[in-house]
Amino acid sequence: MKRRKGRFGAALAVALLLALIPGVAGSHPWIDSYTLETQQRYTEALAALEPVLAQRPVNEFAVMRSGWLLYLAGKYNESLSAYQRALELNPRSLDARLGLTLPLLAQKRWREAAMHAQQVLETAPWNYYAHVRLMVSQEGQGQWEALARHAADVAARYPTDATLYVYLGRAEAKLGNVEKAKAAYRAVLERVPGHYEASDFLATH
Amino acid sequence: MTGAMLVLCTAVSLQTQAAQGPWYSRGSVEGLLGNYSGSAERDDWGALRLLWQADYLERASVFVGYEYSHISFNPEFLGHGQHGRWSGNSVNQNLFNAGYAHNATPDAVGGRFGLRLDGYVLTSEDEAGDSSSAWVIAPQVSWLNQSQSLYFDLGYAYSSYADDPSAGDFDVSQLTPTVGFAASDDGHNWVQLRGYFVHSFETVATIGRSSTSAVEAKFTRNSREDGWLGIQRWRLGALVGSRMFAVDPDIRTVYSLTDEQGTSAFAGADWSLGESLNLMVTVGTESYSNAAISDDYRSNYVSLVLGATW
Repeated sequence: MKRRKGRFGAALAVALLLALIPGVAGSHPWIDSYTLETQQRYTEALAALEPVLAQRPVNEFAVMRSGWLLYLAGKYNESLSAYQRALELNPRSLDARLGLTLPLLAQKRWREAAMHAQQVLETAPWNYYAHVRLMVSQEGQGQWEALARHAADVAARYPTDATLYVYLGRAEAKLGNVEKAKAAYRAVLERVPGHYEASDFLATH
Repeated sequence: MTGAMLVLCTAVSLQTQAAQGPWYSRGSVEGLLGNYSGSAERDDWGALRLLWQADYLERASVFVGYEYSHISFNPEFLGHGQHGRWSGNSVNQNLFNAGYAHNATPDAVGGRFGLRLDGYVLTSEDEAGDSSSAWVIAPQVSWLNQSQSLYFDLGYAYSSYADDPSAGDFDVSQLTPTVGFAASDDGHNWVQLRGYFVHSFETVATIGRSSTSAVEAKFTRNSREDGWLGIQRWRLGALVGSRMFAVDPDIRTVYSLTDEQGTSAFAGADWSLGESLNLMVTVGTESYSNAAISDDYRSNYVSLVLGATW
């Protein structure tokens, strides 16, 4: 009984704390939305945000989050519209521009995704996510020479990251540079032992 | 000049691609020379193709093209110059084409839908001054699935010919249902099957036949790594059945100077010469028949394409 009282008290404390946070007071759309997202109920997670989305002035973060949830729900065009709306609300938002790349890459609109990633890089030249999404675009377009150079260049800035070495390995393999590909995949295995793609390549080459 | 093959086909493809921004453009220059094997009437042929394409991201494309082709006839052929045939020793043809394609990616269905409309204008003239003309309008609707492993399109072409020395004025329609699919899980092998169903509204142009039908199969293999001799892509193709006055939406050409085409085949290989250059070589043979003069022959050709990007 004492333990139940303790749990209730903790929940009440969280609710009171949330009630004190601006934009959360009076409802729990954010809690509901995050909870539903963890359950992969993306449409419902978006619906939970509707009270916030209906607020005026417009809540920029809610618009951004709607873009994310629409992307997760596979509603790519609506996701694009939401991220575009977020960008209109805050033209300096790198998050919004990076957000645009997600549904575009899902739709295999490589060039358009690359354009937005490059626009982010104009402002933030070593933004990790922009570089990775540009690499996805380069891979989709079969730009292997550019991808190899790009992945090596970014890997020098983020040397602990395995993903960059995966892209480097793929590009070098596609270019027929087997030894370079093997070196890249060995670097992947140092960072992620058991990585399937790296293990498979090294086992077969 | 009949018999042995004399074929040289060169094509230079120049491609420009913006590093950033919404517009991507590429252009190509292609030259072809071919030879007619076993023909009593025809000797050889050649063509020059220019193509330019501009893409607005993946959303839309515009195309402009020009093709010059030249066919040399056998001056000693007895039927040559008779009524209903070209009088001169050669025929020159100018083919202009332009097109627009628009893509959409609706979430409800997934994948990419395409709407395309091509238009062609042809003029043909022989050394003796005989001339003919034609225009073609060719819409197409296509769909590529989300994983880009399945493709469908349905094309239509309406061709209207005027002053043809054999058949005068006549119209032809063509339906080209097409399916393409990945033939391996890694997507490196691709198969495309296209039907050519041509209907002639005036059968005098098609030797009494109201329709012809053919199926064209193409196989493309993209190497994961550089293959034999550094080849990155293999292409094989074959056509069975028969077709006349066909419009090929892939290479954007109109088969207006040919007779009835039968079994045909080609093989090609592509190389990447660095980041901005590519080379394509194709050899092919096509069988034709001119029933009016009982002339069965083959057209043999080799194609060389050099492409550049910068």
